[in-house]
Amino acid sequence: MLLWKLAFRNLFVHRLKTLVTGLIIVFGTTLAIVGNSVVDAISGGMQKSLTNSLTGDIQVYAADAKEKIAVLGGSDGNLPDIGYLPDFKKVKTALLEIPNIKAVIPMGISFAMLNPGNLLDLKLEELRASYKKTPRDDARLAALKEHVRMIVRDIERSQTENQDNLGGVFGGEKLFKDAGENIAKALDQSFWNDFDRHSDARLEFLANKMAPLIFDDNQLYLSYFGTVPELFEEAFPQFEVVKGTMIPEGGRGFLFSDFVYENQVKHRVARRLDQIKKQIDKEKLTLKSSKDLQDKVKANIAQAAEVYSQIEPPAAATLLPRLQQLLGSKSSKFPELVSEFLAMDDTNFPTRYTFFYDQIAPQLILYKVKVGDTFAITGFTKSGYSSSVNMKVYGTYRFRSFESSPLAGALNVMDMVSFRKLFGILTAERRSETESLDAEMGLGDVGRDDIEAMFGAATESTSETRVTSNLQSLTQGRFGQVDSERRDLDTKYSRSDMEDGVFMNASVVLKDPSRLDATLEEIRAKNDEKKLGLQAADWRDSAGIVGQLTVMVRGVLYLFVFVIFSVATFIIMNSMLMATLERRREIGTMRAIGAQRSFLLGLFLRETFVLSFVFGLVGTLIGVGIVLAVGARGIPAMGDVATFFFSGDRLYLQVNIMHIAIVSLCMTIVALVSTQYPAWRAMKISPLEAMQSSE
Amino acid sequence: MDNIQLSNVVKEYHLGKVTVPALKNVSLSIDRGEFTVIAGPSGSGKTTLLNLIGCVDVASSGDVVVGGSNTAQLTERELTDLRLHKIGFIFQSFNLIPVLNVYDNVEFPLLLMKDLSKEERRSRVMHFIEKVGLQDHMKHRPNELSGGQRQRVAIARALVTKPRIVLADEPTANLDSVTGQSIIDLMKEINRSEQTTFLFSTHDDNVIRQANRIIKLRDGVIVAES
Ligand SMILES: Nc1ncnc2c1ncn2[C@@H]1O[C@H](COP(=O)(O)OP(=O)(O)OP(=O)(O)O)[C@@H](O)[C@H]1O
Ligand SMILES: [Mg+2]
Repeated sequence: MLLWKLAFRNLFVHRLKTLVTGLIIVFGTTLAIVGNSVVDAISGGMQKSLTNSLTGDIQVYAADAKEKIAVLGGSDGNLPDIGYLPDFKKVKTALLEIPNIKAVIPMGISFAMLNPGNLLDLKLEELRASYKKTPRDDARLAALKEHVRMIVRDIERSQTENQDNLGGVFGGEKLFKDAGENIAKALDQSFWNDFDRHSDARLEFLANKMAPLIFDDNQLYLSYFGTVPELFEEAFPQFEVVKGTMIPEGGRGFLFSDFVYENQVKHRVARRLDQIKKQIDKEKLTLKSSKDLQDKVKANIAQAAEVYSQIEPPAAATLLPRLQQLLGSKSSKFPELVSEFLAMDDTNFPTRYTFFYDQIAPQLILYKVKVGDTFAITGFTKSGYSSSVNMKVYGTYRFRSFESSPLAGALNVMDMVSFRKLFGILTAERRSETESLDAEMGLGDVGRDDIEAMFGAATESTSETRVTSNLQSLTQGRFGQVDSERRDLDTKYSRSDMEDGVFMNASVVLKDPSRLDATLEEIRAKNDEKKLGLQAADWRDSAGIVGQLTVMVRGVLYLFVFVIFSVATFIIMNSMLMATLERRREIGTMRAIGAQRSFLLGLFLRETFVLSFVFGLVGTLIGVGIVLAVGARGIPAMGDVATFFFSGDRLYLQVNIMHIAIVSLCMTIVALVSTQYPAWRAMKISPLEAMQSSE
Repeated sequence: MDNIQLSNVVKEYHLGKVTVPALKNVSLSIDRGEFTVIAGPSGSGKTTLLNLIGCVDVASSGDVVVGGSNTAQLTERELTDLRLHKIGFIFQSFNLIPVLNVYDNVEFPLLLMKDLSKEERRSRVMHFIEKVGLQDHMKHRPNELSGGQRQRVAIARALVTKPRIVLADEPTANLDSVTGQSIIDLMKEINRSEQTTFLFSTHDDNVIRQANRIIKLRDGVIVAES
């Protein structure tokens, strides 16, 4: 009792010092409570994002994989080599025997390249198609031809401008040596006079000699995963189609991630305008103050050609007066007007943005690949060959609640059959086996595979073999063979076709995610029992570098809290030491009149204990208060990446008893550590100190 | 064996390589109920002598026997215990615990002793507070008291454990002569009524005169006793 009294009194008498030390402790504890809560919420949000999007709760993949799985990319940004497993159906059947597993979805993640062709390619394609059409639309043909001539003139201009550079790099290539001659030929009036009569030859000339002269970087590099689309949609409720439609059940097709579609496939100028608008609306930036936005405007002006050269001359003629009116300009040069139009500021941005989408965008190739288009996608096989497959783009998708995050939006979707083709692993030799298997299983298979689809799959098997064996020849195809493969594209595949065969990894979705660890064990047991050749990793391990992020963030937080508590320890120690020196006479007196050393230790411990307990409690209460107050309303996600970590637009916090326990423990340690040295020093004070005559 | 006995006590202080002899071969014994003063000029070794008897310091050689124990043979813990139970201290500058009030200051040694009930403590504390005449100031903190009042608190604190001997090193040095006299009167009164042994040092001739035994020190040697 006496000791407590003394401790309290001492703290009270040295109020100011107590308060300063106390505030540090309050700050430390508050930070620890709130910080931990935030990290927890982020960790939870990320778990939700990951388990609800790509990784599922658990990923299984080949036991003999060369590298660890990283669904969202490894630390070097590359996709690791995780090998593949031959038989998905076997794995699925085995894993579904585990009661806590709700679904197993086959996946295969890979890179592919896609070249939608440059402007001239596209216009020539359109021209070619228009020639085939009956009845002929002469006005359209004329407009297209005029546009092509304009594009060739642009090529001529850039050729003369870049003569020196190009001469150095490409001078050796015949195509570029003859460029001048060919351009002259293409611009000659005679070339166009009898164009209609020799359309095939002329188009071929333009496609082979002119189109390659355009140095647009139209190549798209896409990450994608193959899966059974409808299974995926069913297992991940946050999956939703944004544009177009879902890949039809059993069909082959491609879905862009809406994020990729908007950020890579969309016309560069339009994309920048979208970003500017978003930042003005959401982040309240202004063009006047934001360097970033100004740079975007500058880039748009620099690339004005990508707008005006895409607009066909007749459309440009209609747009010209409207632009003149909007800009209050007398210039009659369309390119100049477009550049001026793109030089936007805060006052005219809203009107020009609207004008762009109302008047200009309809004339542009707004997306390099349109929903509904069929294009050739080139993948790289294990063995190092590249192979191309024609794909139809059905639409775009996103994961609801973190749709704007680039993290989960980096991967595009492809059906499993196409994936296997691209992956370069031939399934042909396994066909015959499985066909009979299909027939047996078809009836028991929840009735989803109708007989027709089964027959369809069976009759298609020949075409399948043909296509796969012809993969090499398709490699070079840009747009080629679309027609010849059309039939294959429209083929319906049964669920068995989709599921049977090679896969790289599979997402396992659990009924009760809290039993993750137990289920992991069960999977491992099942794997041993059935010799599936699997290894399993939870969502955190399998997501790649992103999954480790919360661990790192928590590490940083702990480091921060550790520093604060260290500072608190140091300051408490220091002030105790000062107090010891100040109270030499008092301590000496206590010793002289019979207080043991242990008494002093007890006194000092109580002082720091009271200090850390009272202020630790205050800090904890403030922390809990903040968590409750802020947490209930939610912290708004700043930036697109945050929506992934928050698994939504807001982060909701929760109080965790564990954190309070940890903070209490920390405070106890602070109290104990900071007391040691001052108490030791105090115990060394001799009772003789009391005898010294006073000041 | 109740008394205090010093035989051939030598105390030297070492200042670097220099040895300062503070007490040279001092022998003396003090009996129960004595009211003894140690006199001598500054530096003669008064404080040193009191410190040895008070068990806050140990002799360089010779024996200091307090309450039957030779202090040279005791551990630090045992010395502290001896101080608590057998010795009361009155300091020149009072040395009260600033954060405690009068009552708590007086009770402090009793709490260290741990062997008294709350009631016993209370009656003892009250007895000695009344004895020193501070019953109206029990809730006051030391800094709210005059020097004389503080020294009375110190006296009450020294007496409350019923020690064998009360030691006081120049108890009146920080007080004016009137207050100093009243403190001496109080000590004499207690010496009579409680049979407490007092041993104190002073420079003050007035005070010296009132003692019934005087030990005169000079350069660490007892030069006269009366
Ligand atoms: N801690 C110490 N270290 C070194 N020398 C000391 C120490 N304490 C006392 N001395 C020396 O011992 C001698 C006796 O000192 P002491 O304090 O006992 O004298 P005193 O009679 O109490 O003097 P005063 O009347 O001034 O209080 C002196 O010469 C003093 O300088
Ligand atoms: Mg002295």
